[in-house]
Amino acid sequence: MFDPSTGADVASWIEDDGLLEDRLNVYRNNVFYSLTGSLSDLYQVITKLVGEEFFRAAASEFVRISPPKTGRILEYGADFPGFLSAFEPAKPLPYLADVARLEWAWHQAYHGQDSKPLSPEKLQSFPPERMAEISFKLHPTSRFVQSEFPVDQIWSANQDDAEDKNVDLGHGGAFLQVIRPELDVEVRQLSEGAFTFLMACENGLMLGEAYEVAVSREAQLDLTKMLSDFLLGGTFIEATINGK
Amino acid sequence: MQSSHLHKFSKDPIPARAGIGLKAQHYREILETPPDLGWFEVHPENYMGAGGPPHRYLEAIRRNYPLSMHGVGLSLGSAGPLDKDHLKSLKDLTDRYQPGLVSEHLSWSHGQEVFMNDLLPLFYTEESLSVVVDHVSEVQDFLGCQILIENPSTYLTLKDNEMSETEFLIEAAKRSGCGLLLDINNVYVCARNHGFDPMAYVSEIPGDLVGEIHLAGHQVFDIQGTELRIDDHGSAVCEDVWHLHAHALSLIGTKPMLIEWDTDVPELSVLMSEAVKADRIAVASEESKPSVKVS
Repeated sequence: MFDPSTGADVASWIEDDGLLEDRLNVYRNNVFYSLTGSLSDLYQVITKLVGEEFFRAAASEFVRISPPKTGRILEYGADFPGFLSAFEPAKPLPYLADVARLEWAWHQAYHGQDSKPLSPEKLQSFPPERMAEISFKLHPTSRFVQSEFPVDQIWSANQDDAEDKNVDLGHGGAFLQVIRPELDVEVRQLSEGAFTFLMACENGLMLGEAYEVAVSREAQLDLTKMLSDFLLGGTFIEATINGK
Repeated sequence: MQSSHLHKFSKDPIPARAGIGLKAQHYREILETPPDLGWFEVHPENYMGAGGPPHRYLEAIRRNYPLSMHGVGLSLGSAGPLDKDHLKSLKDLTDRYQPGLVSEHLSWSHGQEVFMNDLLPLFYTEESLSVVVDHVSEVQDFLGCQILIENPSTYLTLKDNEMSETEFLIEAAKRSGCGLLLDINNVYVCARNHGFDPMAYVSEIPGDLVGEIHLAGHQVFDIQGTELRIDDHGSAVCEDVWHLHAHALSLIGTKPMLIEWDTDVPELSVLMSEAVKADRIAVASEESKPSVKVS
């Protein structure tokens, strides 16, 4: 039914007045239009980059091969970036899949669990000599996107309220954190060291271990400044030593 | 943000007047200048995220208005078991926001492990009736409240139907204890597509089963010389549908009436003027009723 090639058995259930295929198409079109519309709302920058027509065609192909498995529409579309990276007609835009990853991260942060950021006082309550043992819990809306393209610039330039519409593709890659500490989703450009540090924290490493990994990627990393930025930015919601 | 769960709502009933579908693009305007409106309706599927702005806005709007939830994702007519996660998400929402009405699309999806809402109309057979009744009962037991099921818009006729749509809906309501959501636009669209009398359809529906009315726009297509009307919730309610609405109210009494507009969503003021129109028709219908004589 969904795939026109499997329509034959379905057709036998229906009164045929000569317009059977047209009538079936109303149902197919309704489903496709509604799902590709939801995807377009979610992937607004992709829609702008490729145009409505191209987007609907790509999204229809995605819906055909990866139809939703549940009725929870907010969870649908996670695999669209992966689909785009393999979608032949999109090959001339190699950054497209990474922009889509950023938009999916934004969507998840937007609908993610609200949570109160860690207070600086909590961090100061630990004995200084045990700082290296601190484990951080990241804000539940936090997501990471890494790309060899400046996808944050591409994303910003395609927002409705964008002031700077210029993107320098030669600008290099991006290490991004998407997070919503309060009401607004923020896309933050991090240094490679800070990005590595947060990823390490998320993977359960303690502060000392995470810093070691991070500094191996960025020798100049300033730990104090970085932690202060993270605290101000609501990056963490909890800090513990040995689970306390 | 942390205080959002502290507000406890009580179950405000949905008044027998017009409401509109709540759209994200209208959140701020509704909070800044609350419109004179009976209630709002949302698709719960749009609020199944853990947190974020949608909940914050809905919470704030819910403080000022009764709320109805109209689900489109439970697939009540599908033969397999209901999606328990979906049902749990729905219950979290009904517990949190205490909607005055909960309704659900009457749809089915026949693909294995594929959710394809509205891909075909439901068969009106004893077999599918028992599926719907079981599922509706399960939902009502789980949520702890009655739900309403809605008459769909259809574009083809299935061969093996054993009963009419109204017989099916009435029987489902009787057996499960659910109510009906009478979508006037869907009645009209089906009547035109299948060549029956919409007034007769409406007269077959017992008024006391109807908990809510939906009103929406649709499109008219010409398919090889045959007119086909397609429900798209993307335009104003047409005159014929208003006329049918007035007729329905004269038969079933005034009910909560929803203006549905889900695609090409216009300014809030456009939705409000549709709501005012629905209310005027309801008032006129009340006034034209013969007054009760006290003997």
